[in-house]
Amino acid sequence: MSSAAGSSTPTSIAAQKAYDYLFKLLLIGDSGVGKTCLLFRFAENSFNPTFISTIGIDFKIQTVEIDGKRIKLQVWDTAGQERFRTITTAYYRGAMGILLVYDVTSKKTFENITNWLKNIEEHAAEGVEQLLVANKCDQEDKRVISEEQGQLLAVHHGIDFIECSAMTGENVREAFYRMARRVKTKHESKESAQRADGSKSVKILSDPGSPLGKSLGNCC
Amino acid sequence: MYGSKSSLSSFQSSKFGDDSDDEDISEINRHGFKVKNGVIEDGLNVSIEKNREREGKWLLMLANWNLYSKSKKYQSKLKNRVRKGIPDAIRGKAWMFLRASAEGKLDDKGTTFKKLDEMSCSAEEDEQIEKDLHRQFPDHEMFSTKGSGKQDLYRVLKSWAVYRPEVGYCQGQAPIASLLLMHLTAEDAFWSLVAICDYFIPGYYDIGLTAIQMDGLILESLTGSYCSDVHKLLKATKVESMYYMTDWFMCIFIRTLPWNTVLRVFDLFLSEGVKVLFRVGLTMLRENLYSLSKKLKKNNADDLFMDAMTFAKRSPEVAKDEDYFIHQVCSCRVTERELTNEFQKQKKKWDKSKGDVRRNYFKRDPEGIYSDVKMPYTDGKMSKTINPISADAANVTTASRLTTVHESQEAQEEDANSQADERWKGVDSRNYDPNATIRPMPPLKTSAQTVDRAEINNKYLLTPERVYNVPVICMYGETDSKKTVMVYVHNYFPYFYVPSNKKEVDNDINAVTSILSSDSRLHGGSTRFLMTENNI
Repeated sequence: MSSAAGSSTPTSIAAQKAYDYLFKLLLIGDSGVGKTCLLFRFAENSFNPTFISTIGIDFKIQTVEIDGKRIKLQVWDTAGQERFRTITTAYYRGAMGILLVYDVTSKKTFENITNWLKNIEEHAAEGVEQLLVANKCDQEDKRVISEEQGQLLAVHHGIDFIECSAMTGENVREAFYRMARRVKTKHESKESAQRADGSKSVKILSDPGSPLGKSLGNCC
Repeated sequence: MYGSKSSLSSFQSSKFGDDSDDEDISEINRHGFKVKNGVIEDGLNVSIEKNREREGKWLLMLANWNLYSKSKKYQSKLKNRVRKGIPDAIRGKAWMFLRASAEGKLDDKGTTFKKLDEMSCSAEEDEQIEKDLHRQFPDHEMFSTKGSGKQDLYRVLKSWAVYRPEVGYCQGQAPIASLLLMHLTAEDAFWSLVAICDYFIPGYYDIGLTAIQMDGLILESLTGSYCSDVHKLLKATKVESMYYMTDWFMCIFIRTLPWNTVLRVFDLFLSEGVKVLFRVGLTMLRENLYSLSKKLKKNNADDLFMDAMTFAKRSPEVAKDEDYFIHQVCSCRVTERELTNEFQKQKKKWDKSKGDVRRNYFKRDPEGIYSDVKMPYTDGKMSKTINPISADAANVTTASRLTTVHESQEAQEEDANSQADERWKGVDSRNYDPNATIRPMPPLKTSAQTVDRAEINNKYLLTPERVYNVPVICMYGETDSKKTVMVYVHNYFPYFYVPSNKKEVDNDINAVTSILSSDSRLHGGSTRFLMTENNI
């Protein structure tokens, strides 16, 4: 059932729903950096050191409230191993925000961020919100990438940066909230611009032709 | 050895396990998994007597393998017995027979694996494998924090990466290797993994992952003909096959289903080939989404999206009853022919930018997987430092693997049986009452010592000629001198579980070995003691 822009009645459906917005976020980064653990900490607020690896794609839902708006976050978790990119990149286009994760105890995962950024450029929608996430910041004794290095890389690519730890829970909520807030701001400014245009139809941020963008259309 | 938590405590390598405290293992079920809340869910689905009877039949079958694997009449008997489930004690051995590698391994005299074992793969792959060692079945005794299975898992996966450098290690292989290691030695597990990756599901782990993507499209299309309501729901909610089937197919459902069912599906898969994946996949989708699909008329598809996403991937309730589930799976009539036709259709729409895609859905080479194939696992691509195996054999297997379409007599027969309107044969899952069939499971904590030996013999012992070279007892563990140990005891019947709480593993093993070898029924040399040294 396609609810493309304007064809359905978004407001009436939204009224039945327990949320005001539905945002799609994507977690990417090398294998073992802790993407699944971050998501688990965010959605379940717990940590399990013995996680199984993600094969293919997974997803979780968490509703947050920002500035009085209830936002449903649909977070997609991806397999980190390189060969899975042929499958996971299909999910880039529909994402409104992408969290790029590296592990502060592994130089390689940090260096690979550049490659992940290239992937975003190639496959994600233009202007997608990005956040560089440094995980495992609790492991100070094993740390090889300083906070400054992370910050520097983020600034260099003009994206936001945060250090967190899925194990202790430090900054995990903040990371997802910050991303949600940024997507919300962008979304609302687009919305108001459209209203100013006098257009009655509601445009959505994501591309309806991609896996993540398809079920949208009733998000506002 | 089941229940031997403390026996593994000397294992403290940073590579294969860390030093963190393991929580106390109160109980381990018969598959080696830690039991949560004292509830053991993986009991035997048949009575012990029935199980013994089946074991007897299997022993006979393995002893006459050529007959059962070649004659048409006996083949179907074999197939049906696999469908009923291979008895635990026979399983490892039967898997070896089913993949037709027993002969191959003997030909090889163990040199290939030994050589591969000594070689190293690229640093990058090594790192990836090491990361994944800690992420397989943390609830299983072998693969928990201090489990000794990680070491063998490393050897198997690394050997694969050396053996097939052009494919390399794929994360989807680790769960399969782990499952194999729960039943086989590292070497046997390795050759089984090779057989699965090269023969059963070739291309699934290749760098481009084209084969699995193609199978995703085919599964999607088959959903249309086998459960159209579910197909409509998936289309309407835009839930794509790659989301739910990647993990399913790549790991042969190992990470999805309850363990009893996992083993049964794996039995079936080794016996009947890749179509089993589709049959299980369709069964899962139907079970998981059928009732939701009925809501499509009244609800907006977008409202059903979340439920569709969550339900699609889960393990259905009926999967808890493995007999019932397997019955359903076997009632799904997807054939190799159908898969091949579907492949030809999908290939026309295939996005060429993804790369070339080849599939072969027939489970056997023209001679049949059950025939005694000599060393079928080499196709000349093996590293030059390893003895090349007979070129003729290599050519045959390569050719059969890459043929996109070829006829198989059995497939034709099955095709004739399957009517277009008879998609699911005589099964209606909606009438399923989960409470009716789930059995109370007996706990493992039986004190084997107290059972009267003569009584066991009278009750369960089969006539000697029916007991034939089978590892009825299989034990794994780690010695104090940091060696991984796997003990196979042949010709011993009946088997039993030995709970071990002692620290002196070496002594334990010696004690068990001496008891077993003093038994008059074990004729000299039939106790095989496999010990592998590893420099950690």
